[in-house]
Amino acid sequence: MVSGQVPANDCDPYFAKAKSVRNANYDIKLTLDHEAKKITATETLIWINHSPDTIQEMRLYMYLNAFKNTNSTFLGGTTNVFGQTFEDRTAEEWGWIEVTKAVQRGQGDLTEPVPIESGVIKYIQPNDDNEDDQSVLQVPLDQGVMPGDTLFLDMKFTAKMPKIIARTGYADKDYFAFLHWFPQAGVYEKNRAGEWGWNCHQFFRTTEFYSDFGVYDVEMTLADHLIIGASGCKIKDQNNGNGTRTVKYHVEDVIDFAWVCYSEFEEHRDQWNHVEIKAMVPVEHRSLAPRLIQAVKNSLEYLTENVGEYPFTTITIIDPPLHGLRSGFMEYPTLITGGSFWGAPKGFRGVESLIVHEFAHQYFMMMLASNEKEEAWLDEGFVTYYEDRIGINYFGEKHSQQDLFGLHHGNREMSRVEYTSINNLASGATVDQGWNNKTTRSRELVYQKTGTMLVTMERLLGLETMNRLIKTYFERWKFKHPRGEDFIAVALEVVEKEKGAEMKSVIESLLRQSIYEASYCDYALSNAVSRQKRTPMGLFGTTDSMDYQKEELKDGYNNVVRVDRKGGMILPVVIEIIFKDGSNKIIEWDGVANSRTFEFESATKMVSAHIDPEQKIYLDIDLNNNSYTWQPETSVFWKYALKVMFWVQNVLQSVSMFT
Amino acid sequence: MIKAFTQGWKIAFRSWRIATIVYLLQFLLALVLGMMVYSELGSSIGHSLELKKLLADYDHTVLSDLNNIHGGFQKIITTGLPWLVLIWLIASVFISGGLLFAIDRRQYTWALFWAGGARYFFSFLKIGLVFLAIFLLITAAIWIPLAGNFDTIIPALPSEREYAYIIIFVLVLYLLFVLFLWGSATAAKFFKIKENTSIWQSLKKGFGWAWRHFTKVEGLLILFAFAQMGVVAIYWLIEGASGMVSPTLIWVFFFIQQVFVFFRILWRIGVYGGVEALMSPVVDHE
Ligand SMILES: [Zn+2]
Repeated sequence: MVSGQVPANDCDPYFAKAKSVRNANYDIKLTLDHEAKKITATETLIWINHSPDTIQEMRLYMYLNAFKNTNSTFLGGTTNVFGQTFEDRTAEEWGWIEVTKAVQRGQGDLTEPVPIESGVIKYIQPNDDNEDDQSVLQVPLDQGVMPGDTLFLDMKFTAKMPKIIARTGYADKDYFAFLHWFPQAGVYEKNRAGEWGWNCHQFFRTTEFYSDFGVYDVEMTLADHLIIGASGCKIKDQNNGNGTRTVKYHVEDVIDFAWVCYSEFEEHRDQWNHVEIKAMVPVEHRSLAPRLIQAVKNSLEYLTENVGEYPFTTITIIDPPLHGLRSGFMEYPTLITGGSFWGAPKGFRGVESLIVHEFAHQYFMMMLASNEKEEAWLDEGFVTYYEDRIGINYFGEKHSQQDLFGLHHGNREMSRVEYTSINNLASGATVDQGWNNKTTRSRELVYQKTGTMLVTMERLLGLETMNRLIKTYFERWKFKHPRGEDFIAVALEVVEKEKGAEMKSVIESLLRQSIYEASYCDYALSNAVSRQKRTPMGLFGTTDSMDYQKEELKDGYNNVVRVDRKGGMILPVVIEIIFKDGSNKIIEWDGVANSRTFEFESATKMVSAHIDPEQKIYLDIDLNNNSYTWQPETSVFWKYALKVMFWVQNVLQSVSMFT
Repeated sequence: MIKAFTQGWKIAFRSWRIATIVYLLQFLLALVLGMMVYSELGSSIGHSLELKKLLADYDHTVLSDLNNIHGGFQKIITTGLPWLVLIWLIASVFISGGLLFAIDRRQYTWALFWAGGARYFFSFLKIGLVFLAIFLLITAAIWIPLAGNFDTIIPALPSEREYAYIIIFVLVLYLLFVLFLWGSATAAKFFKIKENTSIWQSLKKGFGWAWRHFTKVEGLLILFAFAQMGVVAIYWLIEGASGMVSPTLIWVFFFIQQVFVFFRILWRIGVYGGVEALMSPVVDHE
C-alpha cells in the first residue's frame, strides 16, 4: 500500500492484492497543447507474456488514425457516422496518432529509435485489404519475449485530436475527450480453435474495443483552466506556476484509461460506501448533477446486491456539454460519459437511464472483459437487461424511461418494443451483428433482443436462480475475458443444479436459438370454440322404421383450441384455459408443431384460452395474439375510437385557421 | 380591445345555431376515423385478453404490438387523416363565408349562413389559399434552418441555455406573426363582404388594417389565445385526474371532450366577431 501518495481530497486507487493478471501496464507522461489540440507523450508499455509462445512482434491499437482521412476503414464507404457528416472538415479538424520512437528496453544494440518510416515498424491490416488503414501498428521486437518474461517498450508518440466524429476528440470552448487515445496493446490469446495469436482487430464503425488488464499511471501537463475528469484516482496535483498544472492518475486492474477536460466543468462529489462519485458537469447543467449522482448510487446499490462487488474506490461521470454530446454515451474503466441537456425535465428519464447503462458496463465489459469487437451481445445485451432492471426498480415498471405529459413507458417494455419493431426480425443471428455483419449490423439484435432474451430466461428460472446464475458467472469470470460459450457453460451448470436437466435443455435451446440463430418467437392462440354438448339429430334406423330425432342440449361442453407457431423459435409453452365457473385447465405443449389443435370436454363453457399467461416468453414478438376470449373488453374499442375522434376534431379545428 | 373581446363572445353565443351546424359537420367527419379505429381494434386484437390492459392505463406493449403487426392506428391516421383535412379545409372556406356574412349582418340565422357561404366561397378560397401559402412559407423559412443547423448553431452560442432562449424567443415572435396573419386574413374577408373589393384589394386592405391597428389586433387575439389555453389547462387537469379508465368514465369523458370541441368552435366565431368589432367599433345594431 502506498496510500500516502494520494492527495487528501481524492480516493485511494491501490488494491492490496492484484485482481487480474495485469499483463498490459502503462506509464504515460503527456503534455497537452490545447490550442493545437495535440498531445506529445512518452509511454512505457510493460507487457508480460502469459502465452506459451515467444513473442516476436507487438501489435498496438492506433484508434485515432480512424479519423485521419476518409480512406480509413472506420470512415471509408460512409458519409456520416452516428448521424453526423464530416464532409466540410478543415485540415485542423482531422485527427491522427503517430509513434515517433519505440525502444525495447534492455536491448543494448537498440539504443537508437527505430524510425517508423524504415518499414520495420509498420501499419498492418489483419482484417481487410485496406492498405490505407492505420488503426493497427506492428512493432517487431529485436529480441523475442519468452513465455513468462516481461517486455518494456519505451515509446514516444504524438496525437492530434480530431474534432469529435465518434466519441473521441475536441469540441468548442476547450472541451477534450481523450478516449482510446494512446498506443494500446492488442490481446495475445488462444482463439476458439485453440491456437495462440494476436487478437488486435482494426477499428470498424460497428465494433468497439478489446484489451488486457493492467495498471495505468497517466501524468498530464496542461493549461490550468482545464478541469479534468479521469479514470482512477488523482495521486499528484502540482501547479507549475507558468499557467500549467501537472496531475497524475493511477488505476489498477483495468483494461483502458480515459480522461476528459473542459474549461467549464464543475465537479460535484458524493460518496457511496467505499466509492467516491465525481460528476463533472458543465456549469449550466448544475441542476442535473444530483440526478446523475443518484443514478450511479442506485446502480451501485443494485448491482452490488445482484451481481457482485464493485471493488474500485471511484467512479467519474462525465456529462458533456451539448456541443460535445458525441463524446457521450460511452463506458470506460471507472469513467462513464452520459448525455443530457440544459433544462432536461425530471420526467425525461433518458438522462438517468444512460448513466445506469454506462455504469452497468463497469461490470459487463470492464470487469467481465468480453471481446466487444466479436461478441458485443455479451456486454451490450447484459447491460440493457440490467439498465432495465435498475430503472424499473427505482422508477416503476411503466414509468422508468419516460413520464412526461401523461405519456409514460418503462425501460423493459421499451427494450422489447425496440427489438420487435425492427424491419426484419429474422435478418441475422445476434452473435453475427458487428463482427460478421459490419455493414448492416442490427443494433437492436445485440442490445434489445439479448436483453429481452435475458428477461425470458429470468422469468423461466425465477429471479433468485437468475441472480445466482449471474453471480456465479461474475465471480468466475471477473477480471478475465469470458466468451459466449463461457457464459453458456456457467448458465447451464447453475440451471441444471437448481432446476434439473429438463429446464437445462430449455435454457440451452433458448440461448442457442436467440443468440446463434436468426429465428424469432411468435406463438398465437388462433381460435377457441366452446360448444354445449347435444344429442345427435337427423334420421336414425332403416327404411321400415326411420326415426327422426331433434337435437337436444346436454350437460357439458366440447371445446377446441387451436394454437400456431408463427416464428422459427421453438420453446415449450403452457396454455391456460379458463371456464365460466372460474375453474381452469393447464395444457403443456412442446411448441414444436406449426399448428396444433387441442380438444377437451368441460362442465361449463370455456371463456378464454391463453398461451403463456404469465408472459414468461417475453421474446414473443406479438403478445396480443397469445390469448383468445369470447368476452373481450369491448369498451376499449370505444375508448380509442373516441380518443381518436377528439384528436381529429382538434386537428381539424386547428388547421383551418386561414380558410 | 376588451370591448371587442366581450363583443366577440356575445356574437359567438348568439351564433349558437350556426356553431351547432359547424360542430355536427366536424363531428361527422371525425366519426369516420373514429369508426375506422373501432373496427380496426375489433378485427385485429378484438379477441385478446390484453385489451383489458388498455382500459386501466396506457400500455406501451399492447399498442406497439398492435402497430407492429397490424399497422393499427398509424395506418388509419396516415391514410385517413389527410383526406379529412382536405375536406375540412374546403368546408371551412364555406363556413367562414357564412359566419362572416352573418356576423356582418348581425343576424345569426341558418339562412344567412348558407347564403354567405355560397356567395363568398370562391373569393374566400382564393384569399384562404394566399394566406395558407404565406403561413407555410414563413413557417418553413423559420423552423427548417433553426432545427437543421443545430450542429452549427450550438457551438456558436455562448451556452445551451441560449439555444433554448432563442427557440422560445423565435416561437413567441412566430406566434405573434401567426396571430397577425390570422387577423389580416379575417379583416381581408370582412373587407370583401363590406366593400365588395377585388381579391387583391381585400388582401391589401386586410394587411393594411391589421398593420395600422397592430397592437389592438394582437392584444385581442392574445386575449382569445389565453382564453383557449385556460380551457385546455382545465381539460388537462380533469383528464390527468382520472381519464377513460372505466366504461362509465369513457362516456363521461366523451361528453367533456365534445363540450371542449364545441367551445373551440364558439371560440373561433368569437375571434371573427372580435375582429369585426375592432373594424367597425360603432355599436351593436340590435
Ligand atoms: Zn452500452
